[in-house]
Amino acid sequence: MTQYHANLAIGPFTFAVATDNAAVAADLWRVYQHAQLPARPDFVDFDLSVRTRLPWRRFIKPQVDFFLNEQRPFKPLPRDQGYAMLEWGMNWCVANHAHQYLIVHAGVVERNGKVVVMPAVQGAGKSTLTAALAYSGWRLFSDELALLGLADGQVHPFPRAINLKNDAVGIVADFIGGGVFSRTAHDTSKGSVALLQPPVESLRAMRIPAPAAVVVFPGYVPGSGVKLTTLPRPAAFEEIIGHCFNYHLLGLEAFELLYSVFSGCDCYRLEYSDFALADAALTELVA
Amino acid sequence: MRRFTVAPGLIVRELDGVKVVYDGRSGDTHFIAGAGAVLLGRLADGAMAEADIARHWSAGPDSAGAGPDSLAAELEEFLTGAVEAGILRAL
Repeated sequence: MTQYHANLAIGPFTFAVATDNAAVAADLWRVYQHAQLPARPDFVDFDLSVRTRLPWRRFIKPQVDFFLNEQRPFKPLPRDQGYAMLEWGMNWCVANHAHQYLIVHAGVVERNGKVVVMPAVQGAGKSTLTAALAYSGWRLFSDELALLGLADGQVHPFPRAINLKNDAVGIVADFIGGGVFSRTAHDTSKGSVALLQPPVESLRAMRIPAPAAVVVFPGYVPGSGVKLTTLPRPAAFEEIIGHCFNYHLLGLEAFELLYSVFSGCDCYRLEYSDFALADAALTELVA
Repeated sequence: MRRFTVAPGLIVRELDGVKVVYDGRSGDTHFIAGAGAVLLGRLADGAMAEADIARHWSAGPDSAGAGPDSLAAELEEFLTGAVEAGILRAL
């Protein structure tokens, strides 16, 4: 079997990726064609591979496995979900190991040197909104993981492919006038999934952190247009803890970091159905 | 008469009038607003007798229009909850 290898440097991390699956390799190279792919990186943070499970399963309901340092942390998935599995695996690696950051399940964008952190549960529409904003002049930090540095209190960019599901794929493609997507994986646990290429400008600025200025809890509400409601900072602090992957692991450091962040942030709840209106509302907050 | 003090080892910060409390023993984070936040601020200076606490509670920010019986019940509920949560200690 042909083996494909790439080293992917995104934000603070370098991933060494290997796969025997041509479709996974093709999607990776299409989505990250503008990213740094160092031939010989100084350091690799995560050694990953997506490999065909049990060679004879290539022909009967073929499956793939995800490996981190040759350990298999997940159950196998159907082969055509291989690229999505790789992206989810990269998220899992960072969320479970990168404890030099307080990691929040959030979309993150930046404008005018001010970061907007958008914590949300799955299905709330944060990745969809993040994608629309990233292709409307905002700098993409992440559609999934806000990385708050324990050492510097800044938000660190991690501009990977944006994970879109079901109708959101077509809606975002229409809004941005195209976009480069991976193949769509169907029948995943999240429905039909496609990954949108991160904007080139966001990749170029991926080593430039910035302070959090606004915390917004977004939610797609059909027909709402846009509705922005001020949220008391203590309530937002309490709510964001539930969106942190490692708040309790980090303990006092996480508490002090969030206290510092919220002491300087304004907080809101955002209901949206119109990307342009949401963009305008958030732009006003970072003016 | 009982006296109350802030439990040792807590990290107490204030955000928009709300006391944000980190308990390193349990890893819990508590958010205390209103009269409870004011009380916590006063207890930072040292233990207080229950009678003094009650006097401050009845003059506090949430007491307007409330009768003495309801204030006493509120205070008892707060003190009981705070002791159970490890925020206050009864001496």
